[in-house]
Amino acid sequence: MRHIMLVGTVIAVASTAYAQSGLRGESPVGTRVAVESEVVKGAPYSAEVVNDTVQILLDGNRISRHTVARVYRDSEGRTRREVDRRDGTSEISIQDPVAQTYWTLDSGRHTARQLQGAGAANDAARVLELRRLAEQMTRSQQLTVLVNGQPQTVAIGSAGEARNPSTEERLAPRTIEGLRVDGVRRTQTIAAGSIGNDQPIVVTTEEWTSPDLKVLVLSEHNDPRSGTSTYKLVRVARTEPPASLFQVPADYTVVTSGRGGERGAAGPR
Amino acid sequence: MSEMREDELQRRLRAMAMADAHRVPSPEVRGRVMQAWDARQDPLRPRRVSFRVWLPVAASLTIVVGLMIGSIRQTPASGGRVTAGSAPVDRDNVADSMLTVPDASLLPRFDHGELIRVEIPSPAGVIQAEVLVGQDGLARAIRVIQ
Repeated sequence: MRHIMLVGTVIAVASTAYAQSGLRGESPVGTRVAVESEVVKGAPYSAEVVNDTVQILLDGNRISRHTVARVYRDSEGRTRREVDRRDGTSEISIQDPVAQTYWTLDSGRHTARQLQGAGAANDAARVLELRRLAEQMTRSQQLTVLVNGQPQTVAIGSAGEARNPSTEERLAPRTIEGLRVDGVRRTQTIAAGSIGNDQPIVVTTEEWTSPDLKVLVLSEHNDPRSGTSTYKLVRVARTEPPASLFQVPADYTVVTSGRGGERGAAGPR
Repeated sequence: MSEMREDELQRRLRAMAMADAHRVPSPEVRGRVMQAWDARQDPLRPRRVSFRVWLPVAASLTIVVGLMIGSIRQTPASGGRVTAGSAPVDRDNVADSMLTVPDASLLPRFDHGELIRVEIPSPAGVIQAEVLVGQDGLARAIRVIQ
């Protein structure tokens, strides 16, 4: 409880500042800013990021999506993310917390745009993540704790206190893509009648995180209302990526936006 | 409280504090933070606090001060209307904060993602908003801009 109060206080105060953060007011619609939850130094890696979502509709129809992206992180905490477009080009984001610069590259147009509000966006995401953690703490009615090194599930609060109780279970460590990962499974049951549902609705989330790289390696989220989504890192390489990946290529044109729209600037950087 | 959650929270607080360590707060910002902190202290709670508690507190204060400085730096000098890009945006009309989408706490933890500015048609006109989308493509929060 003491820690929950602490987190609550932090979030309450931080939210005051957070209210003014986000993208800069002049950012045009469609602006996308890559956001990292934290800066991790001393743990370089590269990997492919695979996302799959599947939704089954009432008429039996099925909607599935599959995306692949690439991520690179160097020892200084710089990150580069590449998302392929259907036309074969890529949208690339480079975050450099050392130089405090944030770039979006368009491999098709060979343009680079520096984002002014990205630092604030990262701050915002951090605050939100803290808020989410705090919400999980207050919502959970059963927690897994270590007793003599063994996981034990204990209940907190009074029985029937929560309308939609959730449980959290720590899973035995395993190896994924050559990484030792720690897992946690959360389950929330939306009681029958809560939202007009005849039967209870069970929502499950499983996360596997690498303590060495401090990254999410695998997650599976299953909600009968929206479907299943799976996120995973594959082809993980724990080597230092080339420094050139975190720089704007010399043949790219730096584009800025301001009054009158987009305009070119000096090229090589 | 689960040991894992405490560890996770403290690890993140430390990481955030380190990331923001280069920011030095002004006396005014520091005063506001300390005042807010003092106002929320439980008067019945003993003053003696362990190192285990103080560590995240110190980290948290650093974060909060850092965020405040960041926000102050980003406030336009005019403090009012900013005209550029596709449409004028009045910073005074920005909603108080981002709203977490329902059940976002059930989603996997936010590892990375994107903040996307979008337009939403409505009977009252076009609404501009920012949506925070997680690494799995699922929305975590939304903020109405205009």
